Amino acid sequence: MTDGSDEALVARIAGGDGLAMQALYGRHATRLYRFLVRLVRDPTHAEDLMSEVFLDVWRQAARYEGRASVTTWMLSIARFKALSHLRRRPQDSLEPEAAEAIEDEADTPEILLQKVGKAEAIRRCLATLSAEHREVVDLVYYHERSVEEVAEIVGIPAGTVKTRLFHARKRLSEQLSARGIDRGWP
Amino acid sequence: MSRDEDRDTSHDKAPDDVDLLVPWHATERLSPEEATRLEAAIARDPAIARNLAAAREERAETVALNQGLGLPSARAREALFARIAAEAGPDRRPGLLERLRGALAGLSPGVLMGAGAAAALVIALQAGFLAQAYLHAPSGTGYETASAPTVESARGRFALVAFAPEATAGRIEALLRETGARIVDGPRPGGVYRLRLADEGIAPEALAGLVERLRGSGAVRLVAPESLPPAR
Repeated sequence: MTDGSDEALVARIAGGDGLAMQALYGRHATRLYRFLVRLVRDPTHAEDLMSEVFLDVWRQAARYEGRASVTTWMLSIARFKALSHLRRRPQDSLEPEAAEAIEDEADTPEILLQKVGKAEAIRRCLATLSAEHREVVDLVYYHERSVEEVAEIVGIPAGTVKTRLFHARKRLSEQLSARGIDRGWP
Repeated sequence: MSRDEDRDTSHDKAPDDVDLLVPWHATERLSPEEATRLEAAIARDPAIARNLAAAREERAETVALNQGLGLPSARAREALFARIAAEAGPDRRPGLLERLRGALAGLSPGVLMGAGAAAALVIALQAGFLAQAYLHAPSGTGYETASAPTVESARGRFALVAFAPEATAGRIEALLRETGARIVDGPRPGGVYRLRLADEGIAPEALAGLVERLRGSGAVRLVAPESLPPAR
């Protein structure tokens, strides 16, 4: 553990060090916020939940045991808060497929590809994945979590993490194929 | 998504572990052994190479998608740190040392025998806590306040002691180490602390010997053994 490590910051926060708290916030706020936006799909709610995560870190730092990395610990707290929020507000848990399907209804695959290009088409298809697929895709590709860390955050076995991401990627390829884009895999 | 997907019970050919690990190769989050295995598989199988190319493309667009989600506002940061500033600190139970400081602050000068003696007592007890932590540190990781209750500290043979103001930190530390005693509570009125001397099963002669060693050490000005375990 180096002086500037996340773990060292949390140890200082446990002692009431506000500067360490600001350093941890600067390091993690953006990624936590984006993780929450993707889960609750509302920037205002995501910001409120992010603040709650940091307040928990401030209050619970002394209980951090170092079994998982600080990033994984904070993402786990964020996920728990997001799911609690969605349970309280079931109207927010609308799966994105419906909205995207309506939006794209008029476009043929060729027109869509001409309009937006391959990269944008992939991003649109990523956005239409189910919440569970979206979550594991984000944790692996954007948050760069290992198999074991995703398993810890989501609370599923490591084997399930791997197969869930595999099927998310397969679904993505199917959606792209339906839009006239063959990626050559699977 | 169906749970069948997670269990992979579809009729398609089940992916092997190399296929499944490709995304983590794209993010360089595999162990060196797994990465070597992946590299070998990619070199011999063009389908796995295409899988990796697709994963890298997915990664790039996932990053781009997330970066397009914006940033948390300055208002959120200000509100958060205003709340933090309004709190006294992390929610932790005050340790024995904090309670010691608080108790000393509340005592009258007459009771304390002077500010110098009080400062010496704090220093001496800090050394005592260090010795306690050294001798009885828990094996697990994590944090625990000095006064966190344990089953062990609730049972045993105890004595009330007051340390001599002139006792050095090193002397008190050595005394605690020699006798195996630990500070488990305090301060009480008059600067008295409760020491756990031994397990319940200690022979009366051995217990008396420990008390005599404390008395003869010169580091304490008062030793009062408790005759029976405290009522719980």
